[in-house]
Amino acid sequence: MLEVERLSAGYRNRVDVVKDVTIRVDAGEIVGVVGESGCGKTTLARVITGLSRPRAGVVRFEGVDVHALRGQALRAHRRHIQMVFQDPYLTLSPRQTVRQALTEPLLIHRIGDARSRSARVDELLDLVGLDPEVGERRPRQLSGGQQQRVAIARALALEPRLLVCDEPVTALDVSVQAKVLNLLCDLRDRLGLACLFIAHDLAVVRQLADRIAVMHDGRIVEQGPTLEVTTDPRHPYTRALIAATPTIPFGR
Amino acid sequence: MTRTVLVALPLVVFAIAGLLAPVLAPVDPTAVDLAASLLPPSADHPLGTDQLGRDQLSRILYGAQISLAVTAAVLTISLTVGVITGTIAGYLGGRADRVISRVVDMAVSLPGMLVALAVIGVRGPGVVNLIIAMSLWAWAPYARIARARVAGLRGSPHLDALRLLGASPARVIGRHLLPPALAPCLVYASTDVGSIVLGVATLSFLGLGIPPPYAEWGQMLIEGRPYLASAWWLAYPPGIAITAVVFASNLLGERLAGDDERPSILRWVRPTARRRLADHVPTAAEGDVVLSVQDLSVGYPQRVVAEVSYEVRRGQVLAIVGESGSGKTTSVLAPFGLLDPSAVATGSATLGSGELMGLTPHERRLVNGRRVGVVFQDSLAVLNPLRTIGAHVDEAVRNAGRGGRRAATRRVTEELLRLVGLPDPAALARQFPHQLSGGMRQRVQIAIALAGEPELLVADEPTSALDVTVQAQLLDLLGRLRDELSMSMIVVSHDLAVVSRLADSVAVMYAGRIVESGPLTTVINDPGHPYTRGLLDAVPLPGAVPGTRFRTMPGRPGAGPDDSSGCAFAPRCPIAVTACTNDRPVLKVLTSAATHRSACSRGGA
Amino acid sequence: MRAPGRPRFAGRRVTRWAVDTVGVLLALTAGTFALVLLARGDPAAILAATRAGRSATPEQVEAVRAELGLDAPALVRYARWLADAVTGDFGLSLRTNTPIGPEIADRMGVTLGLVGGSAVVALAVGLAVGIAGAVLGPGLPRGALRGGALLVTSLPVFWLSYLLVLVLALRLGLVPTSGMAGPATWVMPMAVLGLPAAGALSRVVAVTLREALDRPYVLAAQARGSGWISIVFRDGLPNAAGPILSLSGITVGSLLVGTVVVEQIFGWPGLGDYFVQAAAARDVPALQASALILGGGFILANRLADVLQVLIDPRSRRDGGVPTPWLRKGTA
Repeated sequence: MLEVERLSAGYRNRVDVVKDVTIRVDAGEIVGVVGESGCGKTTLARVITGLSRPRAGVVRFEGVDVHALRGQALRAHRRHIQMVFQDPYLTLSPRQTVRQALTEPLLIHRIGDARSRSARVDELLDLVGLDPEVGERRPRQLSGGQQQRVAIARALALEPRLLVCDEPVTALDVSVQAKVLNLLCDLRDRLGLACLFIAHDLAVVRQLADRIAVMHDGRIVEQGPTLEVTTDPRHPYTRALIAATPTIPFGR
Repeated sequence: MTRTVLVALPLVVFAIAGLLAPVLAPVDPTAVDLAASLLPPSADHPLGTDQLGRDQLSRILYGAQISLAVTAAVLTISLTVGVITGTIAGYLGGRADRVISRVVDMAVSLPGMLVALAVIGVRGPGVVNLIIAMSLWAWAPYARIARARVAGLRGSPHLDALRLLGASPARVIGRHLLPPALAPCLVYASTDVGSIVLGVATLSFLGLGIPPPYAEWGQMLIEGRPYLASAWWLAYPPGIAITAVVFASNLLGERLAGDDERPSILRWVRPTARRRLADHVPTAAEGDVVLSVQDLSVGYPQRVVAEVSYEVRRGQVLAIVGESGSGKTTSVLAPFGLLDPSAVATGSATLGSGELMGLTPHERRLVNGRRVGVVFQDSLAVLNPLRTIGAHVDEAVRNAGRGGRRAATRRVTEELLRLVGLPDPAALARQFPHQLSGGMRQRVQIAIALAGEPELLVADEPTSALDVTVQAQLLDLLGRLRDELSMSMIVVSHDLAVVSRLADSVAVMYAGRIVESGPLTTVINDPGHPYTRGLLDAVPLPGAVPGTRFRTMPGRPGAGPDDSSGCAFAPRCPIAVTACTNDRPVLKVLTSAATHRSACSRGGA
Repeated sequence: MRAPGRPRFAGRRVTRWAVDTVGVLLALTAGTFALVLLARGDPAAILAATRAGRSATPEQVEAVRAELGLDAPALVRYARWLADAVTGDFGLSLRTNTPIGPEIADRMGVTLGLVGGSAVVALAVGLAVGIAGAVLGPGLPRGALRGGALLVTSLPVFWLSYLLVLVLALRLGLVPTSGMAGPATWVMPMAVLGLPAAGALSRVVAVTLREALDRPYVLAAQARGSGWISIVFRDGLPNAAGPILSLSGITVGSLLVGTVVVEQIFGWPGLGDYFVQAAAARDVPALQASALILGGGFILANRLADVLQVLIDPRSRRDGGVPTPWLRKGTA
C-alpha cells in the first residue's frame, strides 16, 4: 500500500538525515522503525506524510506519487495518511474542547451536517475507549494517555488507511503506554488500519510490530519479520541495540 | 480574582468618568467666571475653581474624556496593526518574517516620546496629530509579541496535524493563530493604557498635546503650577488622577502577567523537624544504614508525599520506582532540602547519626556536596549555561573543602572528570554545557556529585533522556562506582527495567506513598501489591509474539495521597473489596523475605 | 565540538551588530529628514519672515529657498543634509536665524551631565532594589519595595517634580526651586529623572533574576553545597543579565529623552529644552538636529547594551537551552 523507494531527505535542504531509505507497509500491517535520537526517524515520518519534501526518491501510496499531488487531489489524498505525534498535548489546541477538536477535521472536509458530525464524534470517542463526557473537557484537564487517545481519534476522523506514529508512547507512563499500544493493535484488527510505528524503544516495537526496520545514521541497516530481527540480528548495530535494551530479569 | 478586580478599579472609574463626563459634570468645564476664581472646595464646587473660575471637578471629568478617547484610539490602531503584522510575519516565516521583524525591531527601539514630539513639532498640536504621533510607535510591541507567539506555534505539532487534516491557511490563521497571539497582547495593553495616558499628559504639559481651552490633565497641571503653594486643589487632583490610572494599569499588567507569591528561593526548605529519636528501635544492621528516612511527608501545602520511610545501606543501591506524579523525586530530594521553597516537609531523616530535617542553610552546606552528591535528570538545565564545565566542578571541589589554589583545584577537577570516564579532561573543562552530548553532561554531573567523596549518591532519573546505548554505559559506570568506592545510592526511575540492572532493593511508589518495598528479585518475581503486578504486566516482554496484548490496569494514575480515606489504588485494583476504599493499608512484612513489605489489606491474596 | 566556540561566533555576531547599528542610525536620519516633508508651512517662508521681522515678499522667500537649496529633489536634499549633519552643520534655525550646530554643542554638556548623574542614580538604586526584591520572600519588606518601585514609575515626571519642589524647596528650603548653580540644584533634576527609571529597572531586575533563580541549575548548585551569595552572583545575575542589560540600555536612552521634560521644569538650558522650543515654534531644522542627536544617543545606548549581551553569552543562540519547568518529573 505504501512504498518508499530510495528516499533521501534533509532538514531544510542541508545535509541529508535520511539516506536512501526503502521501506513498504502493506494493508493491515504494523511496521516498526527503531533507531536512536537523531537517526532520521522523524524526518522520515514527515516526508512520508507529506509535511516535508524529499531530496531524492519517491513515496507512493497505492501507486500514486504523494509529492506530485497538488490542490484538490492533495486534499483528497490527505485523508488516507494521518500522523500521531510524540507529545499529544502539543498536537491539540489548548482552547478547543475534545469535541471541537474531533469535529474540526469533519468541518475542514465539509463532511455531514451538525447531527451526523456529532454522532461521528461519539463514535470516535468510543473507538479509542474514551467516555462521552471527556468530550466537554479541554486537553489540560486530561491525562497524557487520554490526550494521546484524543489525538489518535482525531487522526482517525477522516478514516485514513495508514497511521504514521512518531514516538506515540514516549511521553507516557508505562501503564498508560500499554493501553495505547493495545489500542493500536485493536484498531488494526477492527479497521484493518495499517501503521508505521516509529520509536526509539526496541522493547515496545518488538511486541507490537509485524516487521521491524532498524535505522542508524539515516539508513535502514536491517529489516525483516520481527522475530527474525530480534532473535537473529545480522547487523552489529542491531545487536548492540538489543544488548542495551533494558529488560526485567524475571526469575534471576 | 477579586484582588485583580480591585486593582483595576481606578481604570474602571477612569473609563466611566471619561464616557459619562457630559452627564456627570456639574457645569460646563470651559465656563469662565472670574468672580469665582481660585475658590477652595465647597458644596458648589467640590474640587474648587481655578484662576479663571472654572469648575475643577468638571474639568477633571472632561480631562478623563480626552485621555480616554486618545487612549482608546491609539490602542485600537496599535493592536490591530500590531497583531495583524506580527501574526503574518510569524506565519510566513523566512524572508518576509526577517524583513518585518527588522522593521518592528527598529520601531521598538525608537524613543517613543521623541517621535511623538517630533511629529507634533512639525504637524502642530491637536487630538488627531496626537493620536498619529503616539500610534506611530505604540504598535510595534504588539507586533513583536504576536510574532513571537505565532512563530513559536508555527513549527508546533498542532499546526502540522492541522495541515495533514487539510486545513486551509485562512482557517489555521483565523482559528488557531490569531486568538493565542491576541491574548498576551491584551495583557500588554493593560500596561500600555498607563503609558499612553502618561504620554498624553506629558505632551500637554509641554504645551504640545491638547491645546487650551480643553481641560486636559497635563494642561491643568501647568496652569496649576503658579498656585502650587497657595491653591493646592489646582495641581493635586489632576496629578493624583494621572498617577492613579497609571499605577492601576501597571499593577493590573503585573497581575495579569502572573504574579508569583512563592517564598524566596534562598530560604532553603526549613522543615519542621519531628525528631522521634526516642521511639527509634535500633535494628541489628543499624551500623550499616547510611540514610534512614522515617515518616516523611511533603506538601504544597496539599500533601504529595505521605509518611514515606526508607533506608539505604552501605554499598547498596535502592531504586525508587513510580509513575509521574507518584512523589518519587520529592521523596528523595526532601531530606536534603532540595525542593521548591514553598514545600512543607515533616518527618525525620538521619544521615549516619545526624538529623537532616530542620537544618539551617549553613548546616545544609556541610551535608550537600560533602556527604551527599546529587545527579538530576535534565543535564542541560541543571548546568549553568554561562559557566564552563571546569567552573562547575571547581566550585563543587571548593565547596567540599578539597580545593586550594586555582591550579590545584583544577587538578582535582580533571581527576574527577577522568574518574567518570570522560576523555581529555583539560580540554573538556574549558567547554560549555551546550557543547557536550547528553551522555557526557550526565557524566559531568556525576563528577560534580563525587567531588566531596560522598557516602551517598542520589540520582533522579539519571538516564531517562538518553539513548539506550548511552544509558547502558551510564548504568555500567554507576555500577562500577558502587563496587569500587562501595558507595550507597538511591536511583529514582519510572522504568523498572532500567533500574533492575543496578538496584539491590526497590521501593514502589503510588500516589505519594510507598506501596511495596523489598529486595529487587523478590519484588519482581513475587510482587505482593496488585499495583506492582500491574506495572510488571505493562512492561514489554522480549519473547512475546508480535501483537500480544498487554494486561492493563483500568483508570488513570494521578491521585494524591489524601484524596481518599482508603487505599489510593482501590479504584483501579482488580482484587479490591469494599473495605479497601475505607481503610488505608499499612506496609506489612510478607513471608517471601524479611525485608519484603507490601501495603495491601488483601495481602497474600 | 572541541573548539571553544566563543570568539568565532561572537565575532560574527558583533559584525552583524555593527552593520545593523549603522542601518538603524541611517533609518533614523531618514526619518528625521522626512520631518521636513511632513511639515506644515514652507520653511523658506518662515526663515524669510524671521529675517525680515515681518511677512516676507515672494522675492525674499525665493532667495531664501535658493540659499537653502530647497529646489532640489528630496533625495538630493537628504544627501546634502546628511553630509552636512555628519560634519556638525545642521543649517540655520528658522526661529533665530543662527547656526544650529554651535548652539547644540553648547547645550550638550548640560544634558550629558544630567543624564550621567541620573543614570548613576537609576542603575545603582534600580539594581539594589531589584536584587532585594528577587531575593526576599513575600512579606512587608518585599511588598514595600515592589509597591514603592511601581508607584515611583507611575508618577508622571512633572508631577513628581512638583511634589519635590513643594517639599524640598518651598517647605524645607533645602534646595532652590530651579536653575543650575551649584551642586544643590542638581539634586532634584537627578532624582526626578533617575528615580522613576530606577523603579522600572528594579521591577525588571526582580522579575528576571527571580526567573533565573527558579531554574534547575540553582537546585543543582544547592545540591553541591553552594551558598546563596555564590548562587545569586554566579548563577542568578549572569543568567538574568540579558534583559537587565537591554533594559539598562533603554533606561539610559530614556533618560536622554526625559531631559526634554526635566529641563523644562527646572529651567536648564540643555538639549531637551532646545528640542521643546524648536517643536513649539515648528523650527524644523532645529527640530531635526536635536531629534537626531537625542535619538542617536538613545539608539546607541540600546545597541551597546545588546552587544554586551552577545559578548557574555557563550551560546550561539539565546534560546539554545530549553528551559525546564521547576522540578519536572516523569518520563523523557
